Amino acid sequence: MTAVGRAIVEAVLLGAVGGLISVRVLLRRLPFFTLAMTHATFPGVVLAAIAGVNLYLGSGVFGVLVVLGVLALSRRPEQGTTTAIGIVLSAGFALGVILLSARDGFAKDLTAYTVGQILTVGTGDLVAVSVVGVIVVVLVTTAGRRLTFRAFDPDGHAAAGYSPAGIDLALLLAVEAVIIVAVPAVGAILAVAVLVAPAAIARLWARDIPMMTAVAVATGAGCGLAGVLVSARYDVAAGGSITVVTGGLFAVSLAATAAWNAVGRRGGSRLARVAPGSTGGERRFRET
Amino acid sequence: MNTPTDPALELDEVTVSYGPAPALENIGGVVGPGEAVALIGPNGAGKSTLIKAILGLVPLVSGRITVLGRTPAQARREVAYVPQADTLDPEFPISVGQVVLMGRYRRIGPLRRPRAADRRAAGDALEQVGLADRARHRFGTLSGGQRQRVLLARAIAAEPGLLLLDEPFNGVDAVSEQALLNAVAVLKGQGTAVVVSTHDLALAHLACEEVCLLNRRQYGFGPTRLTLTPDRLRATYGGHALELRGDRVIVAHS
Repeated sequence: MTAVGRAIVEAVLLGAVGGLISVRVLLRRLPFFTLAMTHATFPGVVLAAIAGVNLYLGSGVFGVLVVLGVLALSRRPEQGTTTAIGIVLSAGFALGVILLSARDGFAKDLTAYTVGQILTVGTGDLVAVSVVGVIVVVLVTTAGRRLTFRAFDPDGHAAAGYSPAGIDLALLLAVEAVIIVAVPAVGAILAVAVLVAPAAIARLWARDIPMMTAVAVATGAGCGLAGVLVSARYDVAAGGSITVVTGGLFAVSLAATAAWNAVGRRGGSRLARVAPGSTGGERRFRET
Repeated sequence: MNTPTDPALELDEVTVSYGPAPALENIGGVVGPGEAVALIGPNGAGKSTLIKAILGLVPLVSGRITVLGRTPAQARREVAYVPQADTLDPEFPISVGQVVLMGRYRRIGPLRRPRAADRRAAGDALEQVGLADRARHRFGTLSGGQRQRVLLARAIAAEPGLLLLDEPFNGVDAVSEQALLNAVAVLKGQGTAVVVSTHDLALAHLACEEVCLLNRRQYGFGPTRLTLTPDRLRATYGGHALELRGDRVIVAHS
């Protein structure tokens, strides 16, 4: 496989996996947390590179620490949490920069770890994305109902006897795993685009969670493919291209759905409701 | 095992504390199967804390809570909790039917799909609150009162032995209020015990055999007519004026 071929496979796989987990990130209202986690993961990636250990192993160990820290923060009262996240975010990034600046070739490495170098991915990177993809699929299929319950009604979820810490830990570990496998493709900092934007786009078009999930996976994969093609065609950074394509699609979706709903308010919109009116007496329950 | 004649809920000198000062002190009382108790007291009196304690979600400093003959944590699968509808995100992409089906999740288990019995229970519950035709609507498109009814339907679908309602009548229209009261009455008829926190004394009279007057400590626990006296209310509310409705208006002055 050529470098571009591998890059395309990597971008599409990562986009799909990111799209799948992004739905859970958005429903659980974790985009800002995720942004902080990407920045806090960055020094772990740098440490792994400096220590000369496997990038996934090194940043994985560091990532678990990040998750435990984030989980501890989220247990505190709501007030002050955003402040703490903001500090963790900038401090994590700064720590990575300091660690990197102690090495030669600082600027080149900084670029690779923050915004990615997808044309250099190898077969091992593709395997890593695939393995994390399987983990995310297993999580979403076995714990999807609980994740939805927890996101929708935290008190009701706890009252039903479920452990909030258990499901939160599972979700945050999955998010961290996706961040880590996103590093070679889009870098630690741009990973947040892969982990949030597909669901944000899907949320505008979809009426329920299964549809939102399908749209997010397709959007993530599509943006990955388009980003790499744009990057190869115009010889610009792939991580940046993928992120700009995703961001552009979000802006277009926002404008299009706003226009659609403005028209639909007169004609009967499909986007604002779960179903276009229910038939009397019919009782069907779809799974989430 | 709990037999039908055993109490559904026993509170024995319950004390709960978040910090140095107790949030609840020496709360005691018994609720039998098919009986309802109204928790009455001002904001911050500890009504929600007591509900959380009955769910086993906050630890007791001292005392004991027995739910259906077991500890709160052991009994949780047979206890249903109805949160205030306006605490939930109306933008969440979930249908009314899916919300009601959540009441069955503990029975369904993590790996299986909902079975016909689960869907039937959810459908019946929605019918009991008069919203059978809304199953496929998005939860957030319903009115506040209708959303509260959906959350009650979710609790009904769980077939609980004890039902806990947190301020269910706040901001609820008359139609929904009547639907909620009817559904609660049906549940009580089936032997479910009910604990409901409310500011509404008229509703406490209508729906509850017992009241528990709370403001950090207990100002009375017993049959509604005997316990809901002007003196006790004045003591509970510490002289603050009450907003009441219905024919039994009692106002406590400072």
